[in-house]
Amino acid sequence: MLARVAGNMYWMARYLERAEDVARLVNVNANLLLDLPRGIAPGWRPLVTIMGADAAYAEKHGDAVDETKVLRFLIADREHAQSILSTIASARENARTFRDAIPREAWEEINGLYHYTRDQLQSGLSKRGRFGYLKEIIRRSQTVTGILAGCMNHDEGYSFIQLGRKLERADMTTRILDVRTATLLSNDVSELRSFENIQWMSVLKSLTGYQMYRLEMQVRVHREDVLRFLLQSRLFPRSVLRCLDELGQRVERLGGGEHPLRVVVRLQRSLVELDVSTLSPEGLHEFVDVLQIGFAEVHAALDETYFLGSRVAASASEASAA
Amino acid sequence: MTIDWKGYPTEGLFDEMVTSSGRIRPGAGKLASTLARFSDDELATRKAALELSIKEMGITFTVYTQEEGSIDRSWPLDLIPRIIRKREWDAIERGLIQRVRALNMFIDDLYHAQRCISDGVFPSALLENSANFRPQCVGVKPPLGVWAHICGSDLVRDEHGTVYVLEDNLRVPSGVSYLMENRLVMKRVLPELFEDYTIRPVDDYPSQLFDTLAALSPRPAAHPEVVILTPGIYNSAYFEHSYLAQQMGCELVQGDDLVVGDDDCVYMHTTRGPARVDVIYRRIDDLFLDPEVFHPDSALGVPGLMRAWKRGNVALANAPGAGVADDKAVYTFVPDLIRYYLGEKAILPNVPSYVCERKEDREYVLDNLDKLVVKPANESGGYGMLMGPKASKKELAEFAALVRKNPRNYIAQPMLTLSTVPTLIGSNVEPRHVDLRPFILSSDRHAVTMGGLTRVAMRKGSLVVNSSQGGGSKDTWVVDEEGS
Repeated sequence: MLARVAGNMYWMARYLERAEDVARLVNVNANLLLDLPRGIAPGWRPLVTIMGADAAYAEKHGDAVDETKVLRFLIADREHAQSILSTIASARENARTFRDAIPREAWEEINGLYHYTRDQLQSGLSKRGRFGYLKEIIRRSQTVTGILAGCMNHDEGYSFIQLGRKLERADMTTRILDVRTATLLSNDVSELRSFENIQWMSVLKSLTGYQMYRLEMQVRVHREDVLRFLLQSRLFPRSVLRCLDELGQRVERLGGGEHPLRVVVRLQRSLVELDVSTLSPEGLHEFVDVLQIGFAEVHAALDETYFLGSRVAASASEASAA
Repeated sequence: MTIDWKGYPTEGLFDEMVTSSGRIRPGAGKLASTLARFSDDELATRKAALELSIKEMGITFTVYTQEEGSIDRSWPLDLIPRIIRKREWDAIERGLIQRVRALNMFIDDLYHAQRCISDGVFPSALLENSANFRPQCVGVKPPLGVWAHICGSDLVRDEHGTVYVLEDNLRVPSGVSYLMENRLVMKRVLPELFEDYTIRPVDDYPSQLFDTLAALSPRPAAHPEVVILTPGIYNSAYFEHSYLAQQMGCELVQGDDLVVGDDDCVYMHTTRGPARVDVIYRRIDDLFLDPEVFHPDSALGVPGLMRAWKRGNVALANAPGAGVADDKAVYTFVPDLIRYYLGEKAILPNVPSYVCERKEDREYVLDNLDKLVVKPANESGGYGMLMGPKASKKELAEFAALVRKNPRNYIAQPMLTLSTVPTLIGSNVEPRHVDLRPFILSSDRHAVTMGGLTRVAMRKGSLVVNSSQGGGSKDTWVVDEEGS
């Protein structure tokens, strides 16, 4: 398939996954804040940090952090490239360039998702309408995923969509872990322990992992087990290792991807060998850093191998030799 | 209030559904009675469903405005279809194929022996001043000797009911995707009528187009690599480019996806390296195709593409230079060309035209400017025209000067009163003027779309049907029944 189209498919999937993940994150945070006593509630700031958008936010709003500003920034801000509205618009623009290559219903669903996100924005920013609005965005993103899985040929193009989705998902999981654990309370303050559990539960819930955690781990919510589940589970579709497993299999099936595959295997190994029980909060932060640098490497390797590589390498003479 | 056909005004018009005495024409009876049964609420519901379908399906066209740049607008479709009876359509179809066969022979002749000029059928002066004749194409032999593989001809019906050809679009005619999408929407919105009528389907066009293109492949492969070359998502017809690629299952490429190798073959950049391309359905104009030969700063095209085409390593549809016959001055000669090349009488008449290049025609045109429509020879989309009867004194004087200065560039025609079709305006029907654009395919075979894209001028009395200028569209039904 065309290298340009492969790249656009990959990016469309990344944008859609990002929009869905941010929508979950906002809903779970809102829920969490209702459960925590005012004094210890982390507020809305961490969401901006998770998106790596502190600088962009400060440029717009300075130090003023309140619910209305942060939510407008994360959901509706067209100037902020990571806002839900912007990422969905980008996903649609990408999809428009390969409408011909995906099933018609998938395009209609993406198009509808964009119209919904834009048209219902006011209700989405209101306190009462927000939950339903974000839930609908999540549901519609899932519908796109479902149509692609159920109606599109599982061909090369589908593989690039999967690559984009899994890499973005792994990235978001590590971001959420990183920021959330930094704001979590220390283990020593025993009277606040129940609130700590609530926060770990919210981490799981932002990744829709609470139920699956209970099923797989068979224990109540502990820091160690949550980390093990979100980083190392081979069953939970949002765990980092599971995403990497799927990435690796896709690249292997595509063929020609020795370089990205090497990076993926390296990251898989570091996850498997990680001993969560000895991991300090600082150690976790450093480990997440290593993972994120790794994801950037995976992206660069995919870009070079599949999306740009052929173009750079295909000088006219090589083309003739083919 | 429901639709009242008795009060429908047809005075001084040829309406395609209602006769001047107020009777519903044969073939349209069930449509008229179904619509008349709808309450206002029902009509409004259907109309809303139609608009929602178009929005959901993402059927758009692109318009450019100074303030907002390019924006997508929902495609305008009227709820009431236009009906053409099969027997009439068959004759039109024969006329269109006849016309395109002659035009292709004419183009091939112009780039080779130019017999039509030496035999005195076509004046050499018109060729010398042609904006779309490409000297780079002289002597080239495209596959099967066909130059215009996809032709969109505009048909109009006058106040007496006669169908004329208004122009032939041989460069990159667009609109065929809307023809197919209109049908899809109508099936969702008025399904009951599809049970009552035997409406000829329109959706085999993409496979016909693919076969037409595949027949041009330079390699005798079982699966020739056919691609569509688009200028990109900001082009006003991008919707159509991507639609056709989807329907044909072929790659939609941009100029920078393609490269011409040292062997003068065309390759596309894929995730697995370069892959040979056999046939390019190009949706960009001649002058942007190849910066080595035409506009040197064009980023839309592919350097070396003309070289590859001339060597027969890739087929281009339409062939570069085919636009030479897409010229209002050439148009006036088409009946002569049909007689000359095919020895036949033209089945479809031309609108009587005056060629300003000819002295006696020019004098008539200048004397009667306020009664005529004057058209530039090489424009499309309805731009640069003078509608004499509706023009101011100042406009008339300006146009007279233009015609005197460059007579080759203008033809004139009497102002036709285009036929009308009932169109939903609010919750009632009113007559609105329409034209029709069928598409004709040519390579080792000929095929014509079943009906065509009906464009409708939505403003009362207006004759401007272009969607960029406020025109709408209608689904066009070629129906089998007589007298139903």
